[in-house]
Amino acid sequence: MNDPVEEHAYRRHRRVVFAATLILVLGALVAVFVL
Amino acid sequence: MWFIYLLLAFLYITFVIFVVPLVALCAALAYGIGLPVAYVAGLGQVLVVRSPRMREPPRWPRPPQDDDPAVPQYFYGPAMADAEHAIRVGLDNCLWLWRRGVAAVQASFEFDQALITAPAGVGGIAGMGVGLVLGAAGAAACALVHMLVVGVATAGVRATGFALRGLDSALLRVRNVRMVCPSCFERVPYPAYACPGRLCALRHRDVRPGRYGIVSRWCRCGTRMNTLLLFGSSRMAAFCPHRGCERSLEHRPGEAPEIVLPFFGATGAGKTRLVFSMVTLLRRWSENGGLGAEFADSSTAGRLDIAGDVLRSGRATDKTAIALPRGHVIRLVSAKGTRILHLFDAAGERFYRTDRTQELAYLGKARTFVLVIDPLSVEAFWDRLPEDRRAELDALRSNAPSPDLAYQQTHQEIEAMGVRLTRCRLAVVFSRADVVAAADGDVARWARDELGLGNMIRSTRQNFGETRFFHTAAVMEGGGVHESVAALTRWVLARDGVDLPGGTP
Repeated sequence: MNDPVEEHAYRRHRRVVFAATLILVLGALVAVFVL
Repeated sequence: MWFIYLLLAFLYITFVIFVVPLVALCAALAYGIGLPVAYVAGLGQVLVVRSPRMREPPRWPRPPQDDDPAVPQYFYGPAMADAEHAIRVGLDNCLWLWRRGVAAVQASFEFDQALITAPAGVGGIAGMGVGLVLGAAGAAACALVHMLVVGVATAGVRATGFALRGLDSALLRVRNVRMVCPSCFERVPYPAYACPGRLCALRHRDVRPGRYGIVSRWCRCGTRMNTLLLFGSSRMAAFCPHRGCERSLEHRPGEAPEIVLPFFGATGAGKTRLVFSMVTLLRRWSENGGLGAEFADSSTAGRLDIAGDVLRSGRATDKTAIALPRGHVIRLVSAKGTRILHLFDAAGERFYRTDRTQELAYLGKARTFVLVIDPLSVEAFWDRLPEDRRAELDALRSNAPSPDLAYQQTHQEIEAMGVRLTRCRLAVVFSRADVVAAADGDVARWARDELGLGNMIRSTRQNFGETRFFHTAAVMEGGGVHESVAALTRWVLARDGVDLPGGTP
């Protein structure tokens, strides 16, 4: 934690994981409402 | 009067009937939606915002102290630690939201106008209860989705790393690339690399895809490094990965198949001179454009740059030190591709005693061997020479023990190293063709009849899969290397896919 090299190395991975999670959650929500 | 009370009671009951469910509905919606949102906000705090004020993660993976100085790959530990951290931060957010609701409900019963606010508090309690159940389920679903993403990504990344590692190993095998350290003679499964970063001296022992990176890895200094030869890792400075050696491998190992060529024989047999003449020949071919031959490291260049001058001057080479030799590394580029040639030239004293020969572990990595014999050192031959001839050649003759001893000792040690000699080739090279001529050009017969080495000749043919006899002169002739050296060099390198030019330069 707070190691600048680790923070830099993981930044893209973390954002991808967050975006994927958000997309799946919102997708599931939309699917529930639509269906 | 009673009518007014009745009206107020009616209005209050109506108010309660409307307010309680309305507040309950609002509270249920607030918590049913708020808790998942609070969790996702926590996820965002951990994965995107990364505020320094955020609470510390409960645990953080740390690689072993003596491991490579690299940042662990995200999906080899940190992703799960982040998931755990996100759950904690999300839970904190949910608790904060819950506590705010509880405080609002408590306040509703404590106001001066509690008669008015209390129904809202009652509705809030009911709504919070329902909202808690729905919201907790929603937050749990979000956590599940996050864990699912991390799990699938982890499995995918690790499978990719495993596949890439396997692919790289398979390619090395297909291209017949088997690396050897010229200093410690050990097989190098994969070169270790120094960080290419400026002002960084950190060394990475195993850069292949794995816990520190799949396609690339991050050095602790913040420099990115390639993980595979496929991705160009050979452009970095390589060194031997074996502890205790760790010497520089300047010849960019892994790019091309390697040829290990050991020279052995008695002291003063002419091994070093033969190496010098082969190297001079290769460089001549290179200068004439028939072949690319260059010293692949500074150590080789430092020791062999003088080879041509030594041969031209006709002076003797320095006596080879008894210390373990370092291989001379030469990069050969021919029409059939690039090869890394390791020439190992150990002092003759190393071939008389088992313990000294055993240290020459490179013998166990070779498939072609060069046995060098000075015909003048063979007593039976020397004794038959005329007196005046002996007086003439006495200064050249080595006083080493019989060449048979060095051969027997070495071939037994090579076998003891697990090498199947029936799959190996042996070049038996009799030196000094410039002063001692072999009859008819049939070197084997000459060695048997004139030198009296019949037993040894028979033994070489029985032990090795292929044996060829040469009589060479490691001297310059007409400005070029003696043609006998070219014949030997062609035979020695023929099986390893080196396309050598014809003729003698």
